[in-house]
Amino acid sequence: MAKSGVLAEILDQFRDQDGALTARQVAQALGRDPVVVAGMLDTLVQMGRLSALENDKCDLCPLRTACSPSDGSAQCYLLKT
Amino acid sequence: MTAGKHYKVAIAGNPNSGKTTIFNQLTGSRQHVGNWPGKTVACEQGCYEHDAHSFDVIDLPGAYSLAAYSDEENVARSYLLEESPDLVVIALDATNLERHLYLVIQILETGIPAVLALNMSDLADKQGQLIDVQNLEEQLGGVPVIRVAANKGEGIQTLKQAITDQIIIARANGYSRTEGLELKYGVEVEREIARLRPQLEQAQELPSKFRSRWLALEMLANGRQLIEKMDSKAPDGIVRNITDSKERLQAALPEGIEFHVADVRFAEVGRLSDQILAFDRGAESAFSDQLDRIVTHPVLGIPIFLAIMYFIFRLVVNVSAPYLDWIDAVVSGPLTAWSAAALSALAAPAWLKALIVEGVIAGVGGVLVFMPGLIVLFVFIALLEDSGYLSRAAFVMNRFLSFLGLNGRSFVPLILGFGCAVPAIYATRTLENRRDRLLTALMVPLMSCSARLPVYVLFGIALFGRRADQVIWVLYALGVAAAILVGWVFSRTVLKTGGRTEFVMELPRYRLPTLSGLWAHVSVRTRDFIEGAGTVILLASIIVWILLQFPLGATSIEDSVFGRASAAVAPVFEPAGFGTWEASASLMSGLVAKEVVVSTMSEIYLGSPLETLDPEPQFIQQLTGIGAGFVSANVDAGREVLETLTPGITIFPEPADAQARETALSSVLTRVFTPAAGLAFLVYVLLYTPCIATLSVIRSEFGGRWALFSALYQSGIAWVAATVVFQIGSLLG
Repeated sequence: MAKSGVLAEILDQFRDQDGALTARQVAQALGRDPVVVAGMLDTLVQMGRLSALENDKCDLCPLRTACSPSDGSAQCYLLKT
Repeated sequence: MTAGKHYKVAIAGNPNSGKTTIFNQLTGSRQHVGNWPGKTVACEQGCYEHDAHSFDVIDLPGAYSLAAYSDEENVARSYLLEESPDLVVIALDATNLERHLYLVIQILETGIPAVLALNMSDLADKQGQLIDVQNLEEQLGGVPVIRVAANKGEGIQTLKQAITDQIIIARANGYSRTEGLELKYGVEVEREIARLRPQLEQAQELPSKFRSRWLALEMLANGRQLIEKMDSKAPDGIVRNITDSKERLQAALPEGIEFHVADVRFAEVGRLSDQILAFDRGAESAFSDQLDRIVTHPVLGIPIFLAIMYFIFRLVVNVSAPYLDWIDAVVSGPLTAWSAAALSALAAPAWLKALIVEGVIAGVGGVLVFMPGLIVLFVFIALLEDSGYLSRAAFVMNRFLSFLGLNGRSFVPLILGFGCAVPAIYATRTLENRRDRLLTALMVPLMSCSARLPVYVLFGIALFGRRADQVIWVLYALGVAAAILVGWVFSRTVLKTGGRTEFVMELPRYRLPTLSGLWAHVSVRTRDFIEGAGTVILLASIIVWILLQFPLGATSIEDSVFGRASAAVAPVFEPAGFGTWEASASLMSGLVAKEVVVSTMSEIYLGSPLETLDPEPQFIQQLTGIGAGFVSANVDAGREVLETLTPGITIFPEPADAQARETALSSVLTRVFTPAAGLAFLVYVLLYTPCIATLSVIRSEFGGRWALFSALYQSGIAWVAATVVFQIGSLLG
């Protein structure tokens, strides 16, 4: 049987958090690839569990490559209440 | 083999998986755009022949899942459900395989015959991605996985063969509804699936190529479309049974069935990845590691960072100076003369002529003159960024901040402050708690934003000549030091924080920057600066000009409303060495945006260029002069680059009659500021009250009280620091 609980673990992270998390931060905690975690977070957004904060200021950020927003890992998410 | 059959093949995959390239390689030029009935997203359709069979191919829109949340996903899902293709080619990006496996699992669970096209396999090899293809095939229940480099046409023939073989096998088995990938979803879900399957297997209106297990699961988790499709002609009881099952699962699964199903699938993605993916670090990583040991060294890291920044400021000043001279000559010379002549020809009233020439051109032009310096800075920041060094610098400074007891995560907003404080303060949203966010937001405006650079370059060149680069470097370093000091003090007083939070950064691989990448960065930032000049600075220049004209009939601009108000404030700056009304006026207007300090100085100090203009400008001569000036600027800039790259070696001796580089404004500043007063003025500009845009962001994020606090405390430390600099500078002579 496939092991379950990754999405539940992500939601728990947000519940423990008083604020937004990026895909990269969530990925660090899970020990997973940020690109894959970005996909999970987008799925949670689509399910209405999280909301994605607008992050259009990244275009001018000199640290964009450190964050790699093109792969979604710098996108910020908040738990929907 | 049965000859002459006609099959339908769909190509599905995540966006950017190379689906369309595979589609083009399969179909060649035999393709057209097809509109899917009732949908807004168009699909490419084409055909090809292989082994005497013909294949209609459709390139479905890129989708991350079959959940039908977006238009693209909806089209892909609808096509699979309603058209029931004979086979789906799932295009995967081999360099990023794990991200694509979620869709793979969803499609394979349907039971539709499939072939996986592992696209960009050549790139994955280069990157050291090791994919155990045979194991992947086994884990996915025997689905063929074909290595493809679609852009080179590699693997396409093998892919065509696999498509043909799989369809023939599937047809021979009657599109068996029982084989394929099968995840287990837990006792409750499996019980409900088992209840529904017998009825679904009898439901003729459902697509025959789908497994009844998947149909049951989809109806439980995400089945509106399927249920609606069935509703009118479904056998009695099916819809009722589905609703009952959903109600039971809703009670058993606290997060809901849809969430649970996605959760199990993502867990399977993780399990698969662990089984089939590995990474060969190789020689490239060894080099990267060695370089990282030097540039992120606990002791050497910061001096290396500071040395690189010094080198960049040196190039910014030296390389931009020839262009600065040229643009200044063009703006204050031909551009002003032509504009005045054009306005005269149009019989424009005197006030409008003065507004355009003395207000707009002097103000906005006075700032645009410094664009070359900013472009050079943007180029070097882009070089650091694209090469991967900037992330190392962030890592080094992050460690330093953590060492001082500050939140390591604050470093990213602080670095953003070098560009503009507004997005930097927004970036504090990533910090855990409000106190850390507020503390960082109060530190950010002390970082020297790019809007201050024109002021630094103007004063640097005017008062410090060839040592301007050193002065600018010191100012940037002073900004960082002030921010850290303020953070350290506030975190122990007004904003006592709890524990420290570690910030783990991923260091990207070193890369050779590309011209297209550099252009992308520099053009965006330059456009942003020009937009600022065309809006905020333009408006501020016009307002300052108007304020300098009233009351009408004033004998000089010093007697204007703005002049008198500035003169009233000027004594405050006397101890700092710049207690003139002109300096006060510039600083006050700088609250709008820091570049406006320069535009206001241009308007005040350069007076009325209309009085000295040639009434009949020599157009051709001036145009020739502009061209010659540009060529000369290029030659001088090239010389400066060589000189800067070979420190200590004089390649081109300065001619004995060489004059210091200066703009019209900087030549005025040499007369009204001493070096000590100029340096104090720069320190004040670095540290004083943030611009209105920054204050309004602080107000919206943290409240008006903290915006006021930020304005007041920064003015306070700016005044103290400037006074100390001037007094010590005066003592030292």
